[in-house]
Amino acid sequence: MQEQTLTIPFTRREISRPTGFLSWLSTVDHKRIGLLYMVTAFTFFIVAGIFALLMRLQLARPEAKFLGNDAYNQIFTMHGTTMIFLVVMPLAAGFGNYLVPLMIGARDMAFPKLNALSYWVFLFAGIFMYSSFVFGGAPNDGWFSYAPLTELTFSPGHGMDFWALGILLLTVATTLGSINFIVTILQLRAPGMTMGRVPLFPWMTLVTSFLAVFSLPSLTTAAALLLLDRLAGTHFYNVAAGGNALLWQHLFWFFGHPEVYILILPAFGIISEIVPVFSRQPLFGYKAVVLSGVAIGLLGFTVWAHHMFATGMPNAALLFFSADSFLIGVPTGIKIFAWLATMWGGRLSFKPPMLFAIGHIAMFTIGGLDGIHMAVVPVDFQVTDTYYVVSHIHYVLFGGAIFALFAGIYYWFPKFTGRMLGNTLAKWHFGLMFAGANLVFFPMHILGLLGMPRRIYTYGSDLGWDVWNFIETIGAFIVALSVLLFLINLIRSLRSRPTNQADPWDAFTLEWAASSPPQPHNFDQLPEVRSARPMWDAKYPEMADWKLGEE
Amino acid sequence: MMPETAIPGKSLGESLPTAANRKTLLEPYRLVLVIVCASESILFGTMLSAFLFTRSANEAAAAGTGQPGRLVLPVVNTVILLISLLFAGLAARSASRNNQVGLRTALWATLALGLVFLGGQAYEFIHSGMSLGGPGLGGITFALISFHGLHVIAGIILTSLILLRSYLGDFTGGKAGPMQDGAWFWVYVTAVWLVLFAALFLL
Repeated sequence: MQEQTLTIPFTRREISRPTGFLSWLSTVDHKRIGLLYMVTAFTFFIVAGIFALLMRLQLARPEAKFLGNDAYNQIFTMHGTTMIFLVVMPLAAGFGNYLVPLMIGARDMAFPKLNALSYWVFLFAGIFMYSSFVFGGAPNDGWFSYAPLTELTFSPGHGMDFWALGILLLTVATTLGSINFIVTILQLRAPGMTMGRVPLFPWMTLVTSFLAVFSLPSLTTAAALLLLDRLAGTHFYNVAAGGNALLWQHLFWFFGHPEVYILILPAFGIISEIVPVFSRQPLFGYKAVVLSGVAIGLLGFTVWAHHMFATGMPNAALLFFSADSFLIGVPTGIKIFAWLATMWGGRLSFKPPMLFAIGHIAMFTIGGLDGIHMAVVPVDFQVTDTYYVVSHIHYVLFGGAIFALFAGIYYWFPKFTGRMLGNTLAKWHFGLMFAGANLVFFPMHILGLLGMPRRIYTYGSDLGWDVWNFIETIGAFIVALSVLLFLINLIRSLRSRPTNQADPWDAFTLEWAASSPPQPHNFDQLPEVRSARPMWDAKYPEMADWKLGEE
Repeated sequence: MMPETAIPGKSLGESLPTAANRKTLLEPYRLVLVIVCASESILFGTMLSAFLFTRSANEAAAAGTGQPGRLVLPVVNTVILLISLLFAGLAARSASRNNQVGLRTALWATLALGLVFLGGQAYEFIHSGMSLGGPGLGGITFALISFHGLHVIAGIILTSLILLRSYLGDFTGGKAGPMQDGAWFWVYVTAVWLVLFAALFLL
């Protein structure tokens, strides 16, 4: 190891942090808001995870009587809605809030009070949606709420009103947060940090924020028109009265497809930070990885109707959306190859963040290939709305986003808390979660091909689906056990004595220049930013990127 | 080795970038306005698409919307909105010339005309005979006009806050930034109305 002549952290002043419960309620510090987002989102993760276990218990056996159809419908709707809007998006926002200002060398986000507002609107929206359980029943028409099922005639009661209103509140929170990220990343970078030197996680956060700002309005329109249908007697989606059910699908999926890239791009950003550090090499093809993220963002707006292949679109439309969906696999493939190339020839260390990163790469590849299969229109005709799609979405969202987020938790936990998460428990967490996740989600490919539809609360015993469903339920409980191990690790680590190591992983980016945890003002000094790896340059000047020609 | 400060020659406090000492293409609040207007354009765009979607599926109902007699009130309303925009611009100019009386008068005029516009919209819709629940374009027209109206209300609230701040003396000395931002937002709201007007009354 090169002799380091620097003293890290670069923060000299010790400023007392506000303490007490009220200080958390009134905070505008991006780090605290980030932690609020993360803790709230993780709580929703546990709740939605329990819903998944309930679903799996019901589906473990054919014609089971554990959950009735109405209860099952509410649970799978809230599972999906929660995981997407109240877990993955806010976890990414939490990481973004905490880390983006640190990684670009700023003192805080551009609009700290707006930042706080985004969080509290998100929290209120989540509580509002969940209050529906007490007010006559939760939303029960699936997370993408197809019309005309969501019309008043087929969904009486207020569940779907809670859904639509909650969604509208969440679009406000996300849009405000995205605006904050865009202005922060464009205008508050440290001197010397050109856009070509911004680390991958803030870059992906920037692309994600643009995606959010341009796709959420479509969801707003869709949800607003649904509310008007349900509450004001209009007939936008009501076919019998002259409306059009496809209008909902177009409006929803025009949002819904960019949404899945909103869910995965921050995860890709996290992996792009971790893989280089634990391969001891710079990211292979920084420009290609950044541009592929931008390409995914732009192309993501043009493929929405691949969710609607079976609705009777003309052949020209089928052809276009199919070809375009193949095309969007290319930039994603570029990222996967870039990560593999980063690892190639490097000195790999399989610490917990790297384990989860590699797990992410493996599982996302499977899930991504599922998507490419379904881009073949005749294949999609067979497997749409079956468990094949459920397999795909969980490989990319659980194997992809959640694994990456856990990788991020293990990587940045020392920065947030000044303590390390235990190694042994972490490895058990990874092993059980990886095995369990594959056990739950892989057989779903088979079930989908055997014809098992989505969103059914039970199935006949003569269909041959029971063995796979039972195996999946076992897998689900293995995943649950692994999460329990993580929680035990978390609590034990939080109660241990802090070591306050500023840079435990010998990493490359600016957040490791701050103390662990960072002072309220983040930095007193910053190293000169002359490449995409400013900390590496500062610690190892003879091997600095800008000296060796890596810009 | 590592420099003492990030920018040589500057003190520690000035080294770190803040919005104040950065050279940026757009002022931060102006950038926010651009992003918000871009986002809202997608909102109105998707709603207009829904309108055109509904219209093409409802040939009979679409026939009756372009009648000249129906145009009088909407045209008058549009002119009122355009005049309010003129006053918004005058407010910005008064602020940059440190003319406090002119500023406040122009802001009051913008506010009042915006409210008249809203009233006119409500009156026009109620007396158009369109119903929300019936066949035809009543529902989507209501949706479009209401969403635009919500943005007008946002502009009115913005104008009221700026008016309040002007009474508190926040805009003395030629400080016109918020006025310009507000005026630009009002330009946007007016531009959206012009597009909606064309779609609703001229197609």
